Amino acid sequence: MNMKKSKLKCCLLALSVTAAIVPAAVYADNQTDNLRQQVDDLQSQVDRLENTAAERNTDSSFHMAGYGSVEYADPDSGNAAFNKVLVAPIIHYNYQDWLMFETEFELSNTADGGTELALEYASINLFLNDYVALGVGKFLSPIGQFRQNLHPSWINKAVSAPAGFGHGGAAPLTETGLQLRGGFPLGEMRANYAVYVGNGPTLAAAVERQGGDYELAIEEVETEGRTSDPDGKKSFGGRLGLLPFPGLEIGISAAKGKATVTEAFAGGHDGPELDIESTGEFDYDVIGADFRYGWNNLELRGEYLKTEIGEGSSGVEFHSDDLPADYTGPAEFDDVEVGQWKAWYLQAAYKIPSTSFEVVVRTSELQTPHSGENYSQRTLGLNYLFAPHVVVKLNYEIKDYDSSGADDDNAVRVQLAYGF
Amino acid sequence: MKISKFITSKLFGVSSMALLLSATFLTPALAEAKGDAAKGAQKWANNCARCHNMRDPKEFSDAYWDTTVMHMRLRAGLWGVDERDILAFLQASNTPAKKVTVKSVSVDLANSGLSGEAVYKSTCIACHGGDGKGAFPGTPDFTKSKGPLSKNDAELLSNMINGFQSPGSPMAMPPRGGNVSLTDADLKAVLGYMRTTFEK
Repeated sequence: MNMKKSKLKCCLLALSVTAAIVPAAVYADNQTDNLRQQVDDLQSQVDRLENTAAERNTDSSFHMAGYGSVEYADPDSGNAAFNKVLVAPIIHYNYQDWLMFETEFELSNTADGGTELALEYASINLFLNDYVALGVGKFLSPIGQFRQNLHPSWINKAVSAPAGFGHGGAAPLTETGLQLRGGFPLGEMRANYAVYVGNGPTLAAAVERQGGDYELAIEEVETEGRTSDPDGKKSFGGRLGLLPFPGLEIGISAAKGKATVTEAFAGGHDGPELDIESTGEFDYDVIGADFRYGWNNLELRGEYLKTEIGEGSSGVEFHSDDLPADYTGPAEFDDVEVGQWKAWYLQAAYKIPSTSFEVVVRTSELQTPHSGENYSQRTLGLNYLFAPHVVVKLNYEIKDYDSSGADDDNAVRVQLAYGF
Repeated sequence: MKISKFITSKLFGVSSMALLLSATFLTPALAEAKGDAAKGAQKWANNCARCHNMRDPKEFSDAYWDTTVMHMRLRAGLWGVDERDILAFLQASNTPAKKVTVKSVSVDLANSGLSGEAVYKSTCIACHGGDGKGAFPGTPDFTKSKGPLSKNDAELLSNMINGFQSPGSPMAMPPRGGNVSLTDADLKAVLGYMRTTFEK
């Protein structure tokens, strides 16, 4: 009887153990399968990441950046309109750590619905060592700071450029040639520099009637870098920046060269063009200074530039057999009115603590040899930063012309700018 | 006239070549050294705001920063070593922090090889400034009674280890301030320094 009971107990025990082990074994198998699956998944992720890393570790890298902006203006002198849509894609392509190609296009719409396309710059840059980069091609003029570093709409604190720092002002825009750029230590200070040699500017002139006399005057110094050099003499110049301590930068700029008249019009830029037969060479000189000081939420900036066109080596002569029918002026001018184009601005920007708002005040002025074109511009602005590179600007802009004949042109301007 | 023009052009050519050659050969060749992220944080803070608002270090991928910083070297007149240091900082900012919870932060001050002041002045000062009030817009003010230092140590250490974006700030502080070589103990030490120096 006892034997039977013992056998029964053994059987029950064996059955219980089996019942316990079999599910546990099945569970363990499932766990192993799950773990294997997880390891396989991780392995595939690692493979993918390694492939991605390998792709990134190539000799050449491509990068597209740039900025875009849309603008609305409500001027006193005209109808309110969405007056500007602009996109400026910038392409960078670098090979290893010693070569970079960079180019910027600027596309914008026009008042009549068309599109303007411009090549802002395109240059190949070789990093020769830690302190020198050699660039060749078309590049932003290193004279001053606004044109080379501050004009993109997401960087510019106001909607407009300061007076004289846009197209047709006193500040050189671009240059085609060769440039050396870089920085170096100067004792406890930092310094940066840019020097260039290029084709230089050309001049646009206009014949105006003053009383009973005709005068030929230089209307504009055209400083868009071109692929020809009509005067045959290279211009050269540059900028030296000094940073005595972080937050303060002081820069001085200068350029020198020759320029000739390549365009002439009767009665201003809108008049009929006069065909030039010969022209003298005119001295071209630029000097400038700029500063930037940042302290906590406050940033102060200022810049001054003077472009001077000196007396020419000789006058300007037009093709006498190809003058416009309604042109009654002479075909030859021994003297040409020259002069100085001067521009400056001062700007303060204050980021209101713990908010995304920024207050901007700017005053600027352009003085040229032509009183009708001289004006001062004052801007009061409030910016809202959605992100450091996404900003909406609300500006009230006061534009006062020196000449009583010109209408002042105050405007409310709104701009949304995105740097990408 | 022609002779004068010939001499001028030759002089110009020779001068240009002399400048180019001296710039190329009289200065050290491209360095192979890796960048220093701690120095890069300082240089990034000192240089980028010279022209534009500070962009978030985590905005772009490592590869994107590589090309971007090369471009900025040209624009801002940076030295090669600046480029490498700033790139090291920005790429370190993209490095995910180890997943450390506040509770698991085990701090042993004895293991910190640096004083809190040394850590602050080598890394934190770039954005937070020497006076703790912030080196540029959007950086929180440590000296305010209701500023970041009003939080407890555990929360602040977690923020320092994992990275944190203050309300109203345009960008986030990267994990370990962008200096991945800092240990938890270093961060604890610098927190102590900040409390002693800035807390009101």
